[in-house]
Amino acid sequence: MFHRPFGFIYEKLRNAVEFNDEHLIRRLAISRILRRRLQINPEGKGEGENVIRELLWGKYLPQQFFTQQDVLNIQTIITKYVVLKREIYRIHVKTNRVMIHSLIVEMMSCEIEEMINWENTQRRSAYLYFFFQTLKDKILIKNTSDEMRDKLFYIASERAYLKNDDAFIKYHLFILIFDRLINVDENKLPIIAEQFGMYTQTLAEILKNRHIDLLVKFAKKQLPPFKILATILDKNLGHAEGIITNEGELRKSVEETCDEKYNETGTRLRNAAIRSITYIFLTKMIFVMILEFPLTRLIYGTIEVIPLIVNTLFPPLLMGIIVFFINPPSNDNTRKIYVRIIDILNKDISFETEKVEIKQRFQMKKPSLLFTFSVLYLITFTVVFGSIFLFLDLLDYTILSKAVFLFFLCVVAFFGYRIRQTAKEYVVESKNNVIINLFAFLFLPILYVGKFLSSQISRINIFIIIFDSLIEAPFKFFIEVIEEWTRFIKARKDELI
Amino acid sequence: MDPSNEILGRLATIELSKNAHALLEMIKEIKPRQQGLIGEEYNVSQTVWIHI
Repeated sequence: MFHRPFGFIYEKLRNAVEFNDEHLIRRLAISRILRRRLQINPEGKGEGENVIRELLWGKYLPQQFFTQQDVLNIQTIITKYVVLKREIYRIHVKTNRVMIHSLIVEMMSCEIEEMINWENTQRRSAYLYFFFQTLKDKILIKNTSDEMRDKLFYIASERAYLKNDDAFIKYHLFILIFDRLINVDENKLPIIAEQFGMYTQTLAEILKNRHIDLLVKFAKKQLPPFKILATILDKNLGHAEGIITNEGELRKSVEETCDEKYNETGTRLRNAAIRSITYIFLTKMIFVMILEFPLTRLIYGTIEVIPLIVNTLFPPLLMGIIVFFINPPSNDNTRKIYVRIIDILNKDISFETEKVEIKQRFQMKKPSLLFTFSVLYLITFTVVFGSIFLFLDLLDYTILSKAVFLFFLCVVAFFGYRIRQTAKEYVVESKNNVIINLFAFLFLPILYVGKFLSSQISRINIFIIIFDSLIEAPFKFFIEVIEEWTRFIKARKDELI
Repeated sequence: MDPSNEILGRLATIELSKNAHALLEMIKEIKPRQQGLIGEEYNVSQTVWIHI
């Protein structure tokens, strides 16, 4: 039907103004749809079908994907969560209702997404289970019980292995305690509501734990062999056992899979670079360019063309340079992955019981050097930014243009650095190169400022506010009316025949 | 198969851990999405439902 491209274009634009991992985008769209629809229809009656309609408009799934059973399933999920929320409000009178509503909508969206994506969900949780079970006994955190350590490492594994956001993690902790609501009998919902306070308390305790970030770092370093093994199993569903129990077969599969993955990384990097530059362009660049142009004219009475051109072309160029110079991993890396896969599959588990202590702070072997390095770092900071300022002076930059240039330099460098890190997904150990370390040292101040700016600015992403509060509701209403009108005309036409 | 290769093949066998066996079992048990009326194309209802 002719109205569908509008829904698709809208979703593409909306997703471009928020930078998220690709596997989370549909879940976030479901959450947005539910939040908007439940505002107008708090009981959620009939919304199962509407969620499906909107997902089809956005082409999140192909036209012939959903059956009537899906409408029923999604409706059941919505209804049960609405009842649960009502019960929580009734039992915990003093609870923060805004927080509970938001949590319930997030959980609803997770359950719907996993129901739609059921096969993949089961596969991902099987691999996560294996990752968690294989590594958990390696971890030692002093003054922490084994139970707490397991909870913390489970969350770290989800973040590192599945790259899930907090909404998914909270939902998974919920179903670990209570099960998926679609499977829960409706008369058990008051019992869950009663225990909900205990759940949110555990959640807060775990998510704020200071060891989580360190555990995520540890888990990320363990990923390559687990990811390659998962790909081998996925590719050989019928005869996986035959391959992973035979060293020769396994070695061949590891080499083939590593080569494929190294090649794919190049394409993924290019896509990630394009996505992030679009994101920066849409959310920041247009805004600043609109501001920079009139402000410069207002304050200085004239426009310097060179700074304007440089400031426009520089961010995509810098991103291109950062992403272009990445070498694929070597054959030695493939060999290390193979040896490690044998370790994690083998019955002899001696390697996995070797403890790795998770410590809170980096401790220098010679504390006296800490002061020297800190001073040196401060000097580098001043020198790096001072040199850039002097260079921009040579190009007749005004203070305003300098600020815009530095802003994009830092933000793009930070995004580029993050993208480069994704290229290391299949790298077991990075080599310690003196020249690269020196280069990284000079770039560190820029990356730090970039990290700070992007975290501050993502909080006030004005485009998200415009899309979600001003455009989405009337626009989707418009599409819905057109859809109904088309159907009405078709029905009248059919009557004539 | 050449007998010497057979021996080498057996030596090169990996004995799987408990976790690896569990993983294989979990993968075997993966079920497709419950679709109910399988193969039936999704048809939005004729009822005019407008909530916005």
